[in-house]
Parts: sequence; structure tokens; C-alpha cells
Amino acid sequence: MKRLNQDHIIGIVCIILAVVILVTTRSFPKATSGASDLSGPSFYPNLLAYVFIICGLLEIIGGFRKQAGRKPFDLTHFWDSITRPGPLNILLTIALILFFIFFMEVLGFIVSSYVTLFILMWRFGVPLFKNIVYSAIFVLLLNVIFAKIFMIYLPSGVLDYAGL
Amino acid sequence: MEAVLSIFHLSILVPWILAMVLGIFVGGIPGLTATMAVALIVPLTFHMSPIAGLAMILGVSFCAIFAGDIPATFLRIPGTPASGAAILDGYEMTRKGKGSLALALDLTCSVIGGLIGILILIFIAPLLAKFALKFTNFEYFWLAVFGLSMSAVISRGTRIKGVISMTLGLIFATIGIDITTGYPRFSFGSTELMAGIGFIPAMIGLFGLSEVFKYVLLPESFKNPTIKERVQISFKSVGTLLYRFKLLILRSAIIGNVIGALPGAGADIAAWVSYGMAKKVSRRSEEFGTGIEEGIIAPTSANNSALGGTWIPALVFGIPGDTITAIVLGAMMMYGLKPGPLIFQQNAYLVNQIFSVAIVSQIFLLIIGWFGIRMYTYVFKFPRNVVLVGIIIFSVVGSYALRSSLFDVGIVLLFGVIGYFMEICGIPLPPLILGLILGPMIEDNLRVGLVKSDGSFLPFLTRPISLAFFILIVIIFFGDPIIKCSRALFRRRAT
Repeated sequence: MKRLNQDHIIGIVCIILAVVILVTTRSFPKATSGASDLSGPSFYPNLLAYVFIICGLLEIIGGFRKQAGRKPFDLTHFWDSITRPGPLNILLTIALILFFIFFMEVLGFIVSSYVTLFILMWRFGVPLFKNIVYSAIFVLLLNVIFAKIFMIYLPSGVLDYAGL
Repeated sequence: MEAVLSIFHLSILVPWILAMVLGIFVGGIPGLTATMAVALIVPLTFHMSPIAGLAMILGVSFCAIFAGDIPATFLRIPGTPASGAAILDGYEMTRKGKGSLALALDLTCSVIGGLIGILILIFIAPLLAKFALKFTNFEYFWLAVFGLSMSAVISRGTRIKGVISMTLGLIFATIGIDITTGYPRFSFGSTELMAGIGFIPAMIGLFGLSEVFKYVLLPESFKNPTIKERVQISFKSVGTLLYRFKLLILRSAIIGNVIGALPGAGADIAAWVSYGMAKKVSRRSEEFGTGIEEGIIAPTSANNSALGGTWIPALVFGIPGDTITAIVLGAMMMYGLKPGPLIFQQNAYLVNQIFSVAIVSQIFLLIIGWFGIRMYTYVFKFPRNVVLVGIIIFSVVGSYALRSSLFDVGIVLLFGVIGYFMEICGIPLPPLILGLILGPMIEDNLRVGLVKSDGSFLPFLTRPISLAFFILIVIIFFGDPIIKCSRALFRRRAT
């Protein structure tokens, strides 16, 4: 029994994505004018979905051809691999960007960006005093560049109450 | 001559140079584009003479396009979309400790490319603009496909993976309101998705954040400086390289200029196409993407030359070549000028002043750009852990600043994760970005073309310029196998 490798996974993902596109476009309205369905909104995405299916099939076939030199797809050590310091750094970065997205409006730009910077620098091993200073410098710099020079609106959030 | 001397008046010179410094500053910050820099400058020019305003606009755009290459080379984050192609070899050169040489080459090629672009603008502007006007939907479709097929040539790894990446970019480009019918596709009720996916946040995520993820995986390297080398720009070694690759510079600048002159195709597409062409014809094509000089020279000569090209349809016909010249046209009308064929007769003096400003801007770029490289080098000398955090926060806030939208920050994150996994799987990133940029152009021209021809594909092949593009694309995709087969046949016959 041949085992799945990376090329097979890529091929399968392509085909799944293409099927999702083909299913979603079925709800798109049909063209009311022009030559057949060519002017409809589903024509072009469907065309791309077929290209994706062809690519996916070629990738799967290619995966069988190159089976010998490929590492089989294995999920047994998945948990061990993501709990090492490196992958945890990635997960924390993603979590802090999500924190920025969801709390920037509420907490305000200054607070949310300072929290994001401080936690990231702490995690990446910047000494505490430098961390406090660098985070403050970054926030100040960002505020001057974006809010003062380029006049881009940055929410004040909780600092609004303090009149800042 | 009087027009040339008049531009050195202090009322023009001072704001012009200040605008160029601003261009270096803005272009080097990911998320802030050359278009944004120009848009910021225009309101400041309201109360100035037209030539002072146009000098500021020209200066800021040339500087911002160059400065975008600085973070692209040092950090693998393009400062502006036009720097996308310069990442590939520029960043690899930095990793080899040759980042300063890469940027010195970049700067001089930007200046030379810019000069060639302006000379073309001056001498053959009307001819080129007339050629661009012959393009209909059929030709524009093939032009965009030609640009995409270049990305298949550019990409490392297998061609299938290149096509997968390209198609993914084209699929992402279909998200949002369908221009032809007004139907919101794949937006699932979200108003933000209806506006589509902006390629600037996508690019910051794909190239910037995915690279950050790679570094944060290795905590042991956190204390190292981001760039280790000392900045030592040897103009002698740059001069030798420029002489060696003189034909490549000339060819890339001409390609960049021609592409820039086509409405809708700007410095970003010009850089990719010329990179692809350079790779295709080079004897060292296998080494492209590993940090070789040709990989820097081709895109950087092309992107600044394209700026000259974008002014051709803008000045001659009043059609913007890209977003920057679209703002320029608005500004010119604000100054009471009417761009079009008559501007050469009615405002000949001003046109000569514009040409003079464009040429002198290149000399200023050489000086200001050199200081820009030094300034950013000091910034990037900090330990990697501090710079990484800085990149993350600038990417996040820079993408937010584009449209004051947190949705765009989400796009940066999404594309950062996608880019990270694509790199693990060996799928090249550049075709995805090019697909995202060229997607709307391909779809619109394909659909409108098909409707015009009652569903027939024949006009896509029977028109002379379309046919020429089609043949070029076939050569790009199947040139190598055809040559290999014919060589094998020839050898067999000989034996």
C-alpha cells in the first residue's frame, strides 16, 4: 500500500477547493444577455476551478511517480512538533495579531499596539527595561508617522476617556 | 535651455528635494505605497506653481519606487508593489552578505532605467502611445496572460506548482463584486469581501509575515543583528557590473517603458515581466532566485523606466498609465492644464520643464537614495528579535492604514499563514501575487472579448498583435521541450 506524500496532499487540496468553487457558483445567477453563459458571473471562476482540477490530478500523478524520494505524510508527532518553542512563537504571533484585530477599536491604537509589542518582545527574549523603552518608542513612532504626518485615523479607544 | 535652468529656482528646488526625501521615507515602509506618497503630496501643491507641484510628484514617485526595494532586499518585505520582483535575488544576496552591493546595483539601475525611460518618453512618446491605443480586449487579455506566463518562468520548483500558485491568485482575484454583472462573488454577505482582496495587504502577508514566521521558528538566532555586513558601497565594482550587463539594463528599461505605456500595466508588472525575460534569455537562468546580479538589474531597471512609460499615455492622450499618473492627471487639471496632444503646442515650455525635472530627478535620486540606504541600514542593525517585532507591528499598522480597515490586517494574517504553508510545500509565492494583480484584467478582457465575438475564440488568435502574444506565450511554456526534442532528433539522425 503506497502512503500519501506532500504532492498527494497538495493535489487533494486543489481538487477540494475546485469542487467548493463549482458548488458555490451553482447559486450564482445565470447570464441574462450576451453570448450563452459567457457573460455570467460563474463562467470565469468555473474555468479556473477546472484548471485547478487538472493541476490537482497532475500533482497526484506526480506524487506517485516521485514516491521513492518523498517523506510520507504523518500526523503522529503533530502535537510534539507544535509545542516546541519555535512553533509556539508562530502561534503567539498569530494570536496577538488577532488580538489587535478584535481589540484595537475598543482598547485604542496606543494600548493595543503597546500590549502586542510588549508581549512579543517578552516572548522573543528582549530584556525587560529595553522592552518597555522599545515598545514605547515604536508606539510613538507609529503614532507620529501614521496619525500626525499622514493624518490616518487611529482609534483612541479607552484613552478617549482620559482625553488623550 | 531657459526651461532647463528655470527648474533650479529655489521655489521649485526646495519642495522638490523635500518631496524626494519623503519618497525615500514612505517607499521604505511596507504598506505605504508610491501612489500613497503621491496622493499625500498633491494637496500640498495646491498653492504652488504647476512645475513646482509636478516636480514634487515626479520626485516623490521615483524615490518611493526605489526605496521600496530597500526593505525588499534587507527583509524580504516589498516596500511598494513594484519591488515584488526585486525581492527574489536581492534578499538572497543579503543572506550571502552582499546586501549593500545589491542595493547599490539597485540604485544605479533605477537611475539608469529612469533616465532611459524618460529619454524614450521624450523621443518616441507619440509613436508608442499610438501603438498602445491599437490594443483592444483581445490584446489586453493576451498581454495579461503573457505577464502571468512570465511568472511560471520566474517561479522556482515545478511548473505545475507555479500554475497552482498562479490559479490560486486568479481565484482570490474573483472575490468581490463582478464588474460586468454587479453580482457579489464569494463574499458570503461580507461588505469587506465585496470590495475584493487588496493585493498590498496580501503581498505584505505573503512575503513579509511568512518570512517572520520562518525566523520566529528559530529563537536561537534572535540576538543576532538583522544584517551583519558593513555598508560599503564600492562604486567601482558596481561600475564594472553595470558595464558587463549594459545590454540587460537597456533591454529591461525598454521592456519596462513599453509595459508602463500600456494603460493598466504599471511598474509592478514591468518589473516581473523583465525579470522573467532576463531569466529566460540568461545563460545562468538556473541561478536566478539564488542571489545573482542579473536578478536585481532586470526588475530595478524596468520599474523606474516604467514610470517614464506611464507618463506617455498620460501626457499625450490624457489616459493614465497607472494609479500614480491617474492622480497626476487630476493634479494637472487642478493646475488648469489639459493633458492631451495639444499640450505639446499650448504648453511646450511646461512640457520641456517636466522633461528636465524628470532627468534631474534621477541625479538627485542617486544622492538621496544613497543616504536612504545608509539610514535604513542603521535601522536594520538592531538585534533580530527587536526588528522582527518592528516588522510585525509596521506590517499590521501599515496594512490598516491603507483603508483604515482591520479587515486588511486579517488579510495580512491569512496570507502570511498561506505563504508559510506554500513555502513548506515548495509552491512559489510570486505567481500568486501576479495572479491577484492581473486577475481582473484577464477576466474583464476575456469576457468582454467573448461577448464581442459572440462566444468565438477566433478573434483572440487572428488579430496580428494577439497572435504575436500567443506565439510568445507558447514559446515561453513549450520552448525548452521543443528545443530539447529537436536536439535529440538531430543527434539521433547524426549518429
